[in-house]
Amino acid sequence: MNNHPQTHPPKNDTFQYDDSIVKKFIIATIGWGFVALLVGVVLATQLANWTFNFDLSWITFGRLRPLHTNAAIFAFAGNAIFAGIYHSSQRLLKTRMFSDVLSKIHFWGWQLIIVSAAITLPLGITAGKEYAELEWPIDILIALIWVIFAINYFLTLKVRRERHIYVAIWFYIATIITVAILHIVNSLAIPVGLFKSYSLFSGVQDALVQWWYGHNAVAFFLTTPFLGLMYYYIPKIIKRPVYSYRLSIIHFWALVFIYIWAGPHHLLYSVLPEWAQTMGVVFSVMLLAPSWGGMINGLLTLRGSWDRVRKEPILKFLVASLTLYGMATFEGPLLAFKSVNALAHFTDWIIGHVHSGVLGWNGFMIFALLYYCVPKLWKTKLYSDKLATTHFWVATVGIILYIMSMWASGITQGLMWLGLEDGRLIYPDFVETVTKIIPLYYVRLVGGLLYLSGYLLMIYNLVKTIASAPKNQTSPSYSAPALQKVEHDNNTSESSHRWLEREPDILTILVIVAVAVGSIIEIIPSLTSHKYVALETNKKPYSALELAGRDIYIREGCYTCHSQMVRPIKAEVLRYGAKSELDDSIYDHPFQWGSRRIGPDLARVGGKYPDIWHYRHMDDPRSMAPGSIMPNYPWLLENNLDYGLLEKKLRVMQTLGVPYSDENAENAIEDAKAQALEIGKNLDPSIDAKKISKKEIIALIAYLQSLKEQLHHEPLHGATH
Amino acid sequence: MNEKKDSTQNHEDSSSSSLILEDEKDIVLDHDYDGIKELDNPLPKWWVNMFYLTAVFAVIYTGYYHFRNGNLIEDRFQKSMIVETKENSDSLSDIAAVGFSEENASIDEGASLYTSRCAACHGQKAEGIIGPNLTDNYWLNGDGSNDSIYNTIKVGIPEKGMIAWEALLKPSQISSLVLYIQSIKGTAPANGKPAQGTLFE
Repeated sequence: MNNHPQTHPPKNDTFQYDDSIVKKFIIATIGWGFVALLVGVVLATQLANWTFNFDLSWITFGRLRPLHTNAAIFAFAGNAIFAGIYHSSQRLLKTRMFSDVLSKIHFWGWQLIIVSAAITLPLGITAGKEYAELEWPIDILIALIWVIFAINYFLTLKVRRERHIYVAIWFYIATIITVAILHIVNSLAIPVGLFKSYSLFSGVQDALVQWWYGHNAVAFFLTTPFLGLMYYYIPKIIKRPVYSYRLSIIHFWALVFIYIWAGPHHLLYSVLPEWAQTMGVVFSVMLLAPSWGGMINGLLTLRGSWDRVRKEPILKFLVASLTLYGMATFEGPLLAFKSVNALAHFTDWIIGHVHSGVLGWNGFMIFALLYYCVPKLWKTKLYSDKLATTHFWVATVGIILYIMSMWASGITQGLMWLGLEDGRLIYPDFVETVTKIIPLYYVRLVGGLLYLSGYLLMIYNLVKTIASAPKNQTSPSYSAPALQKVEHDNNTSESSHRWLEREPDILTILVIVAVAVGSIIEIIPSLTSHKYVALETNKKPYSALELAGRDIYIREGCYTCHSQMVRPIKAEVLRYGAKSELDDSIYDHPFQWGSRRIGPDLARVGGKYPDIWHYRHMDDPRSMAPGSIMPNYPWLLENNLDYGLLEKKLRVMQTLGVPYSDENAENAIEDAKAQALEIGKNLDPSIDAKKISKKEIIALIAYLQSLKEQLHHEPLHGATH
Repeated sequence: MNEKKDSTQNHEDSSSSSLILEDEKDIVLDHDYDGIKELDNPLPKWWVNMFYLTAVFAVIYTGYYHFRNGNLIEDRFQKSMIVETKENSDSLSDIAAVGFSEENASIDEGASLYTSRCAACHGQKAEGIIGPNLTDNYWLNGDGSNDSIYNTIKVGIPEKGMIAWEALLKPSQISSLVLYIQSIKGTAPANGKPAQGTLFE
């Protein structure tokens, strides 16, 4: 087949679409979606009743939570995005994908990544950065597969038979480009071993890069590709023209430009310089209109066809998806206000917020896509419309229970944490603020179970549909003329954007510029200017044993429940101790500020309790804190600490700029063993010091006891060089 | 290549072009993507106004925090802490003066607090596990008087593993615990830990 532009009069090419790749991604979506939801239900159960952690390391909350988030985002939503992109792009560009081989490499590579994640995360192999937990070999694989996808996609654009590219394609391009940039920058790390690396950035810099990534994973993995899918599937399904071409142009560029700035709203009241925090707030607020632009363009496309929503389950899913998108994108700016964030940050409200986005906006859009594409691709009819309608209602009730219980528990937590009376905390005991919301955790569990039940109905429905498909599936052929070279002066009346739609290369470059502006202005100062990094710190680097303990802290996913950021708020200082400072985390590769407080903040836990308290608490948290929902960590008392990599770890930290001397590195193992023995001896007369000092628990205790306020000789904010 | 007879087509749904409403006839653009058409509707006015409004708000918000004195997070925090210590200068001396007091204290409350807070180290029956036996007349810290037990609970014995409970318990609760501990003196529970410290009759 000749795909090259021809100079002689238009001649129709005949071609077929590669739908087998779409089918593959669809089946992967269905399977991984089940896994993501199932793990989510397990986690919800564990929070409602801690015994469901089963004292097994690989199934504890801290290790499973990253598996849940990664599965939901990259496996469930990811495969669905790819299915939709491969399906719609070929049709919108009137061409088969450039290379079936590259498509297949993309598919199988992506599944390999997911399987690697599903194996490594429960084993505690993690980089310790939220939504970017996968270790460096997998990170490299992700980058490679993504680049292969990008190459295939841009070459497909080259061989297209449609002169102009449709708005869905703009969104896909923005996704492909930006996700690549985000992933590569945030994953920069120096390996210590095959399964261990340290982030290139530390402390406030790492936090800023991480949340630039984290927030824009929401933007460019869970929003832009789904808007692209919306722009294809809604007009396709409803058979109505898109409401406003102009609106799609404006909200596309506004969204791409503004989203990238909003990351710092995850770091309000942290030690991030306040100007960057404020940028995060105001750009979040300015995101409202661009986000709603997508929603209204979708909803108004349904104009004149609303009666069909009553009858057709697919349209129900689409309308609910857009509505929940509108709700979540209103809630987002609201949560970004400093004053609201003071209450809501670290609470379950945020969890409710992301779930209205992922379960509602993404989930329902995916269900609509599946119910539409499966019968179409397998050339049959949906097995049961009725079951699909039931799925819709069950899932909707599930989402409502989920969101409302998290609102209630989040606001309860926030109020109890901040509550002061006569200058004293009303609820000084953190456990009290946990036990209070347990009933709501059960409501959330019911919501999750309903959503999962609806999902099972869908699987059954789709399996039956595929089973009823005719045996010999033939691919239809399509015809269209190859693109002709156009004279440049033949269309002077067209808008400049119309011209841009013919030039995907230039559009791509403009997208890169749009996302680069916010990124550069917010991140570069923190990376290059000494002003934000306390150079005149008297903070000592972690001892070798503390560093080993910190790696256990990361391995167990402690950051999924505990923050390390005492905000400059009176109640927090009374509860936890002196507010966090820049140099507290200056040697933290990666930073561990966390984003939730299922348990209390740990930035000032050092010295608060004796070693024996931690020892008994890790073995059985309820023996020291009755009512606690923390899992038991008996294996920390049994496993011997692996000293093997310790010297290498200090060397890598040296490379990263942590002031260890060569001596420190050479003596790392000896020093660690000596410190461990010292801790073991002072633990309790009834415990064999020699034996216990070899265990992992001792390193973890050493690390926790090191989390203390740094004593400053001079204010750090003025430190300039 | 498949048999061409299944009529090669432009769009998958060539049968079903877009439904155009009567009032939309003039604003249909000549765009056609796999059968998808686009209308040339103007931007909704309220939407445009909302966009402008958020931009204006952004300027005001930034100005409020960064170009007026005392609104930065750090300034507000410092101010809240100053007020706090001033208020406290009175109440602090009150707290210092607070010691054991039977007012608002009860043995029942003490018993339940004991079970949830103390039993882990001192045993369900106060027979002593990690911590010492609390039912005998021997005391490692203080002399076993109400005030000395109160003080031990309040500030803890950190080097021995007992935390300072004043952060978690109200003065009246500590007093309740004192009442309870005094009430179980001489109960001589089974498996009692041998006496430690000094005898105070």
